[in-house]
Amino acid sequence: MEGTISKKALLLWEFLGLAAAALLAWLINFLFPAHTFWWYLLLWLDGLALVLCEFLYLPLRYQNERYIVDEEYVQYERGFIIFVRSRILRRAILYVTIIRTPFSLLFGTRTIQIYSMGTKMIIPFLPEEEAYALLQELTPKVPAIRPRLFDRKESRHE
Amino acid sequence: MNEYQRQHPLYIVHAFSKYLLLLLLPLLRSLVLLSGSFLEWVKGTWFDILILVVIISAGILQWLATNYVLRSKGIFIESGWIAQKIRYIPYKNLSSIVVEDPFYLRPFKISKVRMETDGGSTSQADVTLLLRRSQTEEILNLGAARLAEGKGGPKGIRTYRPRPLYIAILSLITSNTITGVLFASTFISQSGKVLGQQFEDLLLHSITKIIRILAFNIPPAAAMAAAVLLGGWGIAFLINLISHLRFRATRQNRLLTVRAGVFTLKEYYLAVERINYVMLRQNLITWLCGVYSAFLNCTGYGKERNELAVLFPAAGKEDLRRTLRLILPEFKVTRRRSRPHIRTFTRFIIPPLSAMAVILILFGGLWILFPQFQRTTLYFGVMAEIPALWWLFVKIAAYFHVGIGMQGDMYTFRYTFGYAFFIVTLHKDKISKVETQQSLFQKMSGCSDILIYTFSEKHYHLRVHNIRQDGVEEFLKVFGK
Repeated sequence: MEGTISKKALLLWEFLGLAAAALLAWLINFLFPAHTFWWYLLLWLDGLALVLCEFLYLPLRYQNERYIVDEEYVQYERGFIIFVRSRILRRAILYVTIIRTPFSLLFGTRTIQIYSMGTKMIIPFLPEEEAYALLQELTPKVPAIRPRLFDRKESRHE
Repeated sequence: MNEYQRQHPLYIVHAFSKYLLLLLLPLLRSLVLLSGSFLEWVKGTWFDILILVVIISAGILQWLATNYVLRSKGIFIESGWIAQKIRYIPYKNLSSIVVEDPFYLRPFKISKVRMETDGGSTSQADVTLLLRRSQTEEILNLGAARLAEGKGGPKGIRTYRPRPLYIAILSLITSNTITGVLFASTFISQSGKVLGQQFEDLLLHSITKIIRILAFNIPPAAAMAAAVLLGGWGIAFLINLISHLRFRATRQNRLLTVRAGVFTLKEYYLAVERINYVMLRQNLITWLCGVYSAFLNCTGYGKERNELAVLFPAAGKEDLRRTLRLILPEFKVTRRRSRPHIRTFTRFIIPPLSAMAVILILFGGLWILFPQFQRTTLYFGVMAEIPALWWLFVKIAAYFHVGIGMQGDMYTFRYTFGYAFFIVTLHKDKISKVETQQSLFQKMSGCSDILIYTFSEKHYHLRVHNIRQDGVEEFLKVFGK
């Protein structure tokens, strides 16, 4: 089982980027005298950052978002500047939670949280059906692993 | 068995001893120094006496409300008089049982017993009881015996006793200046509260006088800073040394027992299958000398303040192998299979070199801007450069240290954090999550960081820096099986 997050996530990020750039432009306009060197420079930099973010960074970041559910593990990949791969063994999963917020109702998405002892994995912006299918698939059918420290074959120190 | 039992009545005083001491000693002092009649003393101190009565009454109520009963497979505990808490803990779910014998409780033949499971509070024990030695023995006979049950583990009883020198080395490595400074400042302020402001002033005056005598040819501020650092470290060293003297580890079937301490004798009964990982720790000097200190992570061990989860205080490479095989043969330290590539060497040394450059620029600026303080600036500048230079040496050594070793289901991770070198060995089943992180620069040099989140009561993860990409892929392939 393999999938990606909802395209609506990209839409939301693009909107948030645009809103942040607009806010920054308003601040520059408010703090610096109009048509001066610094006013032009900062506005141009703000515009450049917006273009890079909207047309390069965010689409590439979205492209890297992926989850894989194998027989043995669950893997979630994300990030562009720092590419991160998280992996949890399915035997170590304690329980799975679905999070629904007013925003997720608006976009028809859900966030899934997979808990193991001492840590968790969060996969956001999953399409609703996919999130519920994952919940069914990943919820442990048997209790989480017991330590197998004494089941191993003998091996030596190096 | 099967009968509700109470804690020792001394619990009434012991539970609130900190507050009682703060109230009782000033009260007694004023009574001793009394010049008027007893009635006048009562008139002057009636509020303190009232609080003392309230505290003791609360202690009595808490003592009456706490009961426990031992069953063949677990323990029932009732506690709390405002909100009652009833718990049943099966012995098989226990990770550890800790028995503490502080010197002031020994004449009464009383011990403090802590019981821990993998769940519950991360800062406090799941169950803490103040019991008579006979009651403690009863709990150990049932609980500790259950921890040892099951097939597997070495045959017979195996014991390890380190040399006192090794304990001194451990204290040398693990002593923290902040702990010592905190201890000293608490001691000074509390002694002021208990013995009066005059005593606190005398103490501070004497310390300042000693520092003045010792500080020759260096600025007074620098002498004070050096004294605080050195004094704090010295106190922490002594605390660590005293609490680990008479260290002894014994392995029997699936049970590991650790005993240590002089003033407070502590006995830890640990379930081996609940040990999450074994950690070997070094600093630059011990790394160069090949000396290791071993710690283990098991819920309840090393949880209290000023407590270290020591497996063995210090050992050379051969000693380490032998002792680990003796005490915990299940945990193997394996050779590193994945390691950093030579072209990532610069990634190790750039951070300390940058720190050195920033300090140089900062103090260079101060030197030019404040010519009247050039001596002090030079002193603090050199002092600030020393840790950065030390960090550079650590990072150079880190390149030869970091890596991953795999043998069957046992994994060994070698990494550095700050100035310390770590080797963590654990079973595959004790890894709760693996994460790989690759920045754009790391992508260019073909390496990644690996983050391992282990099973632990508290959140804990380790980061192995700049491992070659093919090694990372191999690790993920093996881990996924």
